[in-house]
Amino acid sequence: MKSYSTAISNQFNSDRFVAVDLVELYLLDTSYNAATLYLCTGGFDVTYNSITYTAQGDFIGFSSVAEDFDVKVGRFSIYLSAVGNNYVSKFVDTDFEGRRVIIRKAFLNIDAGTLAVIDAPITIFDGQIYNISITESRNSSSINVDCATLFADFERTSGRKTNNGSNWLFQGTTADTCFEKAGFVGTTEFKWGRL
Amino acid sequence: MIVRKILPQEMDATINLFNYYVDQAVESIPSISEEYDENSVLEFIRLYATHNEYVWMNAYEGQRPIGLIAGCVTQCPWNKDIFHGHIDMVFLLESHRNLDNFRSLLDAFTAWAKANKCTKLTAGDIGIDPARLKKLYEHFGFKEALLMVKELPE
Repeated sequence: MKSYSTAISNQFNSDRFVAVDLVELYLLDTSYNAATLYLCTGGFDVTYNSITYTAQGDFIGFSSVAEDFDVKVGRFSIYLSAVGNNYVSKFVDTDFEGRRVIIRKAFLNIDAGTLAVIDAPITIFDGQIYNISITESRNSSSINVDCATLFADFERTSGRKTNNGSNWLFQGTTADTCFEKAGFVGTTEFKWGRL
Repeated sequence: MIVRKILPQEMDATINLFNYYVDQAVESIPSISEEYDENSVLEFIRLYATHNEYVWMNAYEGQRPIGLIAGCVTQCPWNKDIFHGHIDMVFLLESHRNLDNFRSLLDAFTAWAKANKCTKLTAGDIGIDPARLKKLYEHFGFKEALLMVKELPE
């Protein structure tokens, strides 16, 4: 469960607030130098931490982000519509797989009229790119960026199971004991399941 | 005919329409054909379609875009709280070029400008037949101002 600062809580409880989503795609250029894309929803560029996030208006969209108590791979998609070659080349010329993606929700100061970001934006997704699909039309392209949370890597290790022994084998260390309670499933019947 | 802001999926149709505008503009400014860059056009339309201080609206007959009007909000140089709506370009396909359709485009832009607290409209176009466009704007109450163009030596 997320907790928010007082300044953000006040915005939630306010009858008027402006919020945008800030998207950070940590891509590389052809020389393997950082070529991060900073984008935001809404109709105006937003500056946060001296970084300008370029407004995308209706030309950007997301799938919904689900939060869950279970440990599972959270999937998330970002859609960029009607983009040109300069955007497409950022994805096709380099190795995008595993690059970090962060989505933040930023509340903007509407009362002061500055539309400056209030406090620290809330991180709503922090994961990595695992696939990209590009649909080209006559004059433009649409990019679909599929992202997954960090547990994507856990799933991908072939043969790893959710018990300490298996986890230690693949991690190469016995320090991580997170599965010590997960290795035994008894047969005692309870109304709410088994122990 | 309806006039409205473009949707992301209408970008290709909008670029096709813009290319008709370019084809006609080339007749009066031939250098445009050499300078034309498809990516720049795409980014230009995207900028006008995404940022609040810009607007790009198409006129549609059914699903087909047959005209466009694009502009922005400008700040008055002597008072930053006074805004003007500036029409950068207006275009109708030749088959749909009449006063009623031009009025529809102008009305839609005026409504957008008013919603953005603009108190005055300005317009300028270096493209197709400026003399005809001048008469057209005058018909709708615009007064003549000055827009000069000069090629700079390399």
